[in-house]
Amino acid sequence: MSKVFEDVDVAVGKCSHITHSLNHRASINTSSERFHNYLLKPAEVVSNKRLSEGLWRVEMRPISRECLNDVKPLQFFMVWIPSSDEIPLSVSDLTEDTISFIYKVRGLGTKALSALRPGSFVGLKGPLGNGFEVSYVRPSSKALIVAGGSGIAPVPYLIKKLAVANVQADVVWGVKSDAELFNLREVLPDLDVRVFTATEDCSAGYCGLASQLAVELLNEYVYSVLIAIGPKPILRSLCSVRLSGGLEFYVALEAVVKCGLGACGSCVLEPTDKLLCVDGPVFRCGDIKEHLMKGGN
Amino acid sequence: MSVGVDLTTYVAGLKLKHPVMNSSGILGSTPEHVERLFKYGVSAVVSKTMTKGFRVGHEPPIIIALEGEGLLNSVGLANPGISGIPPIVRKAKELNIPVIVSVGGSEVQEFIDVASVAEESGADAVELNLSCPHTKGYGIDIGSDPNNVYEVVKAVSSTIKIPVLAKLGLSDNVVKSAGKALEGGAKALTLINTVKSVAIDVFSCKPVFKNVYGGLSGTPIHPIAVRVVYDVYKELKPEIVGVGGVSDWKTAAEMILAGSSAVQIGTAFILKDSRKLVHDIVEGLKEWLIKLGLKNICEAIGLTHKA
Repeated sequence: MSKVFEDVDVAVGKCSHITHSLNHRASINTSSERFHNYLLKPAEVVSNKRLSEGLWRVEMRPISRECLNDVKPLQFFMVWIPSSDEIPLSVSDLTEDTISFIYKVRGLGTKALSALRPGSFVGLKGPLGNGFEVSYVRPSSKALIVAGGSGIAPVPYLIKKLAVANVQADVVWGVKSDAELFNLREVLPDLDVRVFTATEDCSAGYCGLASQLAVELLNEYVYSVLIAIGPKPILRSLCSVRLSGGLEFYVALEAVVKCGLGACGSCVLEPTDKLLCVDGPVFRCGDIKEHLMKGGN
Repeated sequence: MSVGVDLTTYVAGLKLKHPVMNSSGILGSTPEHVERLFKYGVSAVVSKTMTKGFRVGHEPPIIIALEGEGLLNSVGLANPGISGIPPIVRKAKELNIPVIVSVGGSEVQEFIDVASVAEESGADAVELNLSCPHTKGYGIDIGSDPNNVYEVVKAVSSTIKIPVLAKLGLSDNVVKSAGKALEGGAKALTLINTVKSVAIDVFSCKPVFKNVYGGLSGTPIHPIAVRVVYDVYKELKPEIVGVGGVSDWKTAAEMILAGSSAVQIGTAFILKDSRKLVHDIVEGLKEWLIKLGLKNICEAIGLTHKA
């Protein structure tokens, strides 16, 4: 007999008796962690500053710091801006009691977020998504992180966690024009990281696409893992590159996320049945190839 | 251990290999969603509520969790419109799984139009959403009046040949509405929808949803849903699909004892391991039936009323 019935000792066939006798232990709740992540946790804005043309950084202090436990790099939060919107933002940094997000002002929600002053309250739903497991990376090896545009947002926290795991990171950051760039070291003091920038209009750094620069670096240096973050075209072109054996390749995707918990399906990664918000945003390149090759942004 | 126990059940003429479906609103608006629900192990796929035209729905936030294992949603009937129905039905047919199209409307003709497309597409049944609690002019705005329920169900039932289920929500009139739905030609009732609720953030002092109202689902509404199923079954003995806080075999069993021929799951797919949940419920129900000395699930339907 299944374990769930071990506390049941009733006469067979008497439904009313059984209704009262079945033990609640039968339904042990294994979902509490997920459930807590889905609660809306209040947080107070500590600072909110412009970093470059279009990119901002907001730091928040949750009323209860519980939601800051065990946040993996590339996980995200749904950030609720009261009376305005709720937007998915990946974690840029964590301290003992604060969480930071770097975001691009592009719609009503991010515009409203950029207008929030210190002392304003927001709500945080998360951490959400699978995130990147740094323990899977071989210690003392090197990681290449390729970020396109606002894909730079989760990079500081990723570098920080890789460093804790004794993995050194090189970063390629590609943007359209140098106005979008900011000094990554400003948000990453104390960390030994090489940052290579690429601009499409050749206004700074490497003249060309981040993916092209990444390929050059892959030919020149030895990396154990490649993590690409950003819009589909950059991930697609990197996924098409024939890579040397032994290099693990992950991509972190972007999609429209509305509910963030796998109910509404707006972040389905067609033509697969994967949902970015619960199955992603991090995938092995091979696991999501069908979606990447489908085209679009 | 569970050899010989039969979970086959019947709802509105549909033969289901076990009683667990998804509830409308959990995925169900694209073929990819149907594929995912199929992998969850449901015995029939229920689509997202479809309206005639595309609806973007409410602006986020659209779903939050609440203390007590409940979810509050204000999705606002986001759906692709009738053009989204054929691909969903096609995918379900390809996977050889029954498909019920949830139909929404703000007036009788819209229900007829959407239900007709569902029928033409090959859907096995339609479920009329007469109970969504958070979208003005739809759902409960229509379904809380038993006469409206009759009018919509009658109009759709006399237009299409596939079975019609009426999904009703919590209201003082629910037993009367249930009677009217059956009188109008509904072959089964889906009871209940989410319960109209409000959540307020105590720091910003604002309602969490821009739309203010949401629908509460999950564990907090389970006893309410069981009560409605119990009362409607007691009064009318119809075929019922029980919905509301079904999250394990025990909550499913309660629904069945109260009078449900099948159950639907929504919130638990979000809060639990969705790929394991249906399997666990099905296995738990089999063990339970053995404990009761019953050979098939049909014997357990409404058993509390006979005990």
